[in-house]
Parts: sequence; structure tokens; C-alpha cells
Amino acid sequence: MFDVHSYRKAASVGQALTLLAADPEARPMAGGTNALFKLRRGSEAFRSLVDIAGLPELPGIALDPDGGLRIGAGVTFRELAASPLVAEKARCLAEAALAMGGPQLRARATLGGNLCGGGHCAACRRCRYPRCPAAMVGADGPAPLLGLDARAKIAGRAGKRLVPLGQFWTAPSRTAVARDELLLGVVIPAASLGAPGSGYVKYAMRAAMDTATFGCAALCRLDGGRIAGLRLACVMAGPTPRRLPKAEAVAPGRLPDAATFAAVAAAAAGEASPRADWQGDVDFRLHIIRRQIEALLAAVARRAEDA
Amino acid sequence: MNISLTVNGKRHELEVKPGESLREALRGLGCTSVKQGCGAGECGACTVLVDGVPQTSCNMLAVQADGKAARTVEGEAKGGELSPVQQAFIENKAFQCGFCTPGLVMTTTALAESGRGGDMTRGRSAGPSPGTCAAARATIPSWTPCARACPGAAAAATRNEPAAPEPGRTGKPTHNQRGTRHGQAHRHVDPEGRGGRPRQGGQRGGSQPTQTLADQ
Repeated sequence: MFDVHSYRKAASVGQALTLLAADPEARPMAGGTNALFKLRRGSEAFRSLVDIAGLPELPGIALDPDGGLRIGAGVTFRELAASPLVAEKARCLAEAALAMGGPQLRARATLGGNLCGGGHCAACRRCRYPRCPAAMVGADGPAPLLGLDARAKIAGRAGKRLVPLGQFWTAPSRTAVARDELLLGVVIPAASLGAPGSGYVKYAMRAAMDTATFGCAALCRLDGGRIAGLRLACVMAGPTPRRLPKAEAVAPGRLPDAATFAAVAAAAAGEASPRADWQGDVDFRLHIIRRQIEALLAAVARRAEDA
Repeated sequence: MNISLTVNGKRHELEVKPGESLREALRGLGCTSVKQGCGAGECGACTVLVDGVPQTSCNMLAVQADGKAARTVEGEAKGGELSPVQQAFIENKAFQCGFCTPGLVMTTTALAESGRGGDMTRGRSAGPSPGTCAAARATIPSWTPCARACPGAAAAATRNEPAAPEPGRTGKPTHNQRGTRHGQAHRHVDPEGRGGRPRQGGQRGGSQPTQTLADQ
């Protein structure tokens, strides 16, 4: 039995916003995998729930007329991982979707929940700190979407707004979505889509049902056999999901070879600011960041070459 | 709160508390095969099929299942005959203590019915259970024939391809996932030629460190 004091099912985004505004304790819940996990751990934050699962405004993966890819916040990871459109246009996102949790969790966990507070710290399994400031950093959704330059569509009572994901995670456990607002979905611009050199790597303690010790999405563009552009977006390389602009800047103009990958990875490790926790100390994490980024770059460069 | 829940084909009108989990509601209806293991959706012992999709019922509210149909192990045997998956579990000795077996039977059933029986050897597709079961090393190899036991699964398994596109992570085969491998060859990124991080002092748990990267 979960300590739920009130549960209301919203029929529309408008009604959900009204319910959230009326009750300062109310929190939205879609799949519930994160909210119920936190309730079970003793959190008081999710005792009053507004169920937003299945709202007509939230599902769907579709191309916009301008070529951008629109993904609703209510899309589950199962849908994301199985979507041919995502696999074709945003491979790193499809890979990250499949790296998240296990089949049962993917069937219910939504992208919106993952971006707004999912991927609770893996240490939650071992520690019982209900208001852990590290929550949400190990989620699999943020890195690929950050790398894809996605923007979050947020609905409030005053209207809708678009927030670049670079400004979405304002602090650990804090997002740009205010308490009485709802994340409607994300929009990936057409320019980021369909790049062949795209991939996601996740290092975790086990192959399923674990948050990332380190997760990184890379998008690599080749031109005339040399790297023309590189984007790296990571989780667990700092307090919030982040890009690594200094490491990205190392690559352009260089050959996609082992020396370049090592140089980028070294710059990434220099730029990252991982924390020490039960998953590993800072040295170990920096080692993982270096090795994983080297391997990821080799993989995405090969994909870009093969395309 | 009043909900309508179909369990193994029979419709029930239930009054549930808002905080009641689906697992509790199902057990209240006599489906005691639905076990509570970890209570956090990690172990998979409480897996039931909700509208045909495997779901951990411990971290799902009963009210979330309003209007949906749940299937548990209780409904799998028909007319005194075990389902093909159940029968295959027995023939392949695919369990040890049996606590999580109902959840595994339901997960396997969903995989078999979706035509992805061959995926069972990939470990990840079998859901949370394999990684957390002490007997997994012995039982995982036997799950593939279980998943293939379903007539619908056989055709897909011989095609050797998953029903849905499967990009993404390929777990490094851990000590407990040495079943026959099917499907496309997996490539593992393992720059140091070994399994991953060194074991650190004070760390508990039997999980094997895993490096993951998608198939190329």
C-alpha cells in the first residue's frame, strides 16, 4: 500500500493544470514508476497525485511539417525503442530508450517522467535518503535529447512555451517545469535528425534495471574523411545533464582516428565534474568517462563512414 | 475508488484505496501467484500482463489499471492443461526456488506471443528477474526453449529476427547469461579487453559490471 492521500485522473492537459494549481501538494504522474518508487522510499512529495497517463495531448511520435521530430511526454520507452521513425532519425535516442530499465519498466515509464525526475539515483536501492539531491542525474532520456538540440514544450495556465534542453535542468532535481506546469513533449529540430554518426553509450553496474554510472550521446558528422562536427551530451558528468563543449571543439578538422578519439576523451575527462558516490570515486568515474567516450566515438565515426 | 478490472477473462468491479497497488488488488482477488519481491519493479516476481504487456504490478496502482485486462499465471492453464510455456518450464527445469516463476512465466508468455522468443537469451528481454536470481545461471539457458514453446513464437524464432527494431544496448554476457546466442552477432566495446571496472571495496551485490554499446 502506497501512502497516497489523493488520486485524481485528469481528462485533459487543461484539467490537469487546474488540478495542479488548486492543490499545492499535487504532483503529476504518468507511468508512476518514479513517483511510486519515491513514495515507497518515504518521500512525501507524491502523496497527492494527478494522473496524466493517456491524456490526448501527450502521446505520439511524429514529424512536423518543417521536418522536426515531435515526441510527446507521454510516449513510453517501449514505444520510443520500437519506433522506426526514432531509430531512423535519432538513433542515439532509440539506443538510450532501450538502455533504460527493463521491459516491464519501459512499458510504463514515459519520456516526460524521465526528463522531469526519472532515473532516480541508482544509490536509491542502497540508501534511504528520500530527498536525494542527486536524483534524476542517471536518467537515459536527457543525454540523447540534449545532444539532438531538442526543445521542451511546457504548458502552463498562461500558455505554452519552448525551452531549449540546455536550460531545462536548472539544478539537481530541478527543471524549468514549474510545479503547476506540465511538460507536453520535446521537439527535435530537423537539422539534428538523420545524422548517421549517432549513438549512445551507457555504463552501468548491470545490463538491465540500473541507472547510468555514466551515459553519453554522441553525434558525429564527417566531411571529406575528416570530422566536421561533434556533439557530446552526458549524464553523470556533472550535477545535471550537460554538453561537453570543450571536448566537442577538439574534434573538428581532425581525422577520425584513435589519436583524435583519445584527445577528445581526455578533454571530456578534463571538463567533466563527476561526483564521488557509492558507484565509484571521482578517479574511477573519470576513467570511465574517458574510456566510454573513446569507444563511443570510434563507433559513431564508423557509422558515419559507413553511411 | 471504484475500478473495473478484468482478471484472466473475468470482469471485476472493485473498490480500491488510491494507494493500493495492482499486486495487492490481484492478490485480494485470489491471484496469489502475484508475488511481492523487491516492491520496486526491479525483480520482476510480480509481473502480470496488463492488456498483453508485461508489467510489474508492485509499482503500479490498481487505479492505473482501471478498465484494463490483467493476466496472471492462474489463468494460463486451460481445462486442466498447462500452457505451452508452463509445460516448457517444467520440461526444461527452468526454475529453482520457484518464487519468481509466475512472473517469469508471464514475461516469457508475452515474449513468446509477440514472436520474440529468440530474444530470451539476450537476458535483458527476460526482464529484471535474470540478474537478480541466484539460480539464473542454471535457468537462463532453459528459457529460450520455453519462449519458443508457444506456436506463434516458433516461426519468428527461426527467422532469427526480433519483431521490433532493436537498436541499443547489448549487455556484455555476464556469468549468468551463457545460453546459446541467437540473432545478430553482438559486438561489445571493451577497450581494456576485460569485463569492466575493478571491484571496489565495500561494495556489495552480485551484479557483474557491464559495458554496453549498441550493435554496430
